[in-house]
Amino acid sequence: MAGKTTPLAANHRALGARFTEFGGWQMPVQYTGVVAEHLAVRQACGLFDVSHMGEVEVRGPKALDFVQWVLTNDVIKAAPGRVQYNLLCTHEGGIIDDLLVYRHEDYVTLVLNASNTEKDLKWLMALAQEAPHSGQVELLNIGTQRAILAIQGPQASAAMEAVGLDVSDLPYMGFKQLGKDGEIIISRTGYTGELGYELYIPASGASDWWDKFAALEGEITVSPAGLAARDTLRLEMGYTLYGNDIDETTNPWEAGIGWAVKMNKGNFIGKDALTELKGKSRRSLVGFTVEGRGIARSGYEILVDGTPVGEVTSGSISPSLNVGVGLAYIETDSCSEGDLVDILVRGKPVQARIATPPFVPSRVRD
Amino acid sequence: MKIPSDLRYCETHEWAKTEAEHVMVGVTEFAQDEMGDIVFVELPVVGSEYKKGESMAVIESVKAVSDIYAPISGTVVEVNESLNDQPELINEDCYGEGWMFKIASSNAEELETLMNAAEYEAHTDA
Repeated sequence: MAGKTTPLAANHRALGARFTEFGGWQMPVQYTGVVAEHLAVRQACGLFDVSHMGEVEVRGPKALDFVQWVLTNDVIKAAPGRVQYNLLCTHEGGIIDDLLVYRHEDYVTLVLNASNTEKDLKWLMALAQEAPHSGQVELLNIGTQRAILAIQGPQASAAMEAVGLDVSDLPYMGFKQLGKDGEIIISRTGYTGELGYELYIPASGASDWWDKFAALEGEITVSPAGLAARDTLRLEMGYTLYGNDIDETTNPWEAGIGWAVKMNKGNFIGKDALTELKGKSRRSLVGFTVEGRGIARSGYEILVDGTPVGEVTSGSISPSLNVGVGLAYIETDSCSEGDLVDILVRGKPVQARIATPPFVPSRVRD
Repeated sequence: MKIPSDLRYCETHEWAKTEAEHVMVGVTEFAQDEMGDIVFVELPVVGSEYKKGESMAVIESVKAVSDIYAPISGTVVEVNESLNDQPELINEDCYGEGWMFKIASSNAEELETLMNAAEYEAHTDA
């Protein structure tokens, strides 16, 4: 199978993982089964390899000015030691990527979608050549030097403590550095809706860290979980997935992530277009739960009184609820929360109800 | 991977079992393993007719939608209603409790054109 491998490939093979190609990487898609892995995260704790995520350090005297100029959220509002959800937009307001910013004292680290890392770097490199940042900004692609583990679930804090990592002082969306040179980063972040952490470690030590978590037993159970469970977990929360629910043809307003665009922070790329687009979205991203028999998948058409009003962008079964759930773009004001719509499943209308995610309560702040 | 010797097999991973007056159909262990956790099954309507190779049913796993094709031509005489509430029976016991439907064959010779266990094993190894 084509694709780059993470430093944990041998650990996954030893566990009998099944692999899939994702964003140019060969990633474990499941170990024992997606439903069991999903429920393990909701009920105890799951261990994910997310080393495919891109990591770019932005350094130099104008590093903070630069990210404030290229991103939509207000990076200055994030104090050192905080993680911020942010967007990289085109001049036209389309979403190039959604990402996390790790704010250090005098530099930031951007954590990018694997499939977008090359594109993002190219975009950022070109912008860094322009005035007034030219020569004042350094971009370092550090993704391949590190592995990233995600430890997610109600037992995540106990699991971190059990392997010797103190997380008692970490608030949601906070991070800290450990080790002689600060080479270990722990953040209280995730993509599952559970209490959880992401652990950034040098590639050479990744396998030992993975084994430490996987070997925990007794009251704490940590189950390896693959990309398939990661996808159903994020869908139950209504978190958007780049390439499915957002891309360069969608803008933050219609995608429901306009809260990550700060119009009062000064000028930034895409601001003019986003000012123009605000309040004028012709379509809106909404959630739905399927009430009839069936599962709505990406691409399925949505009808109101027999008239097409939109299309599913992410859809699957919710392993927690055992019903179909998903996200869809619908024509703005064609239906609202609580309304019944029809989704065409193999040509047959199946009833679904418009609902605001999360479909399962979020526990990220527990 | 279990491949019972008394069944016949399709390239699309259905199995067919000759019973007294009809043919019982399901999917193979290879197929259910490839699909992963099965969460939804759409069965054919009793009395409907299909030609060999036509799509008769749908199995959905968490990730994917798979068509189930008629191994032989005929009329549906019974479906496994338990799968409506317990689609996971296909994962747990694909050659037993997880059977899908029974067909009254309209062309008995078609069954002979399907693969035997040894041929199917070679097919899945390829």
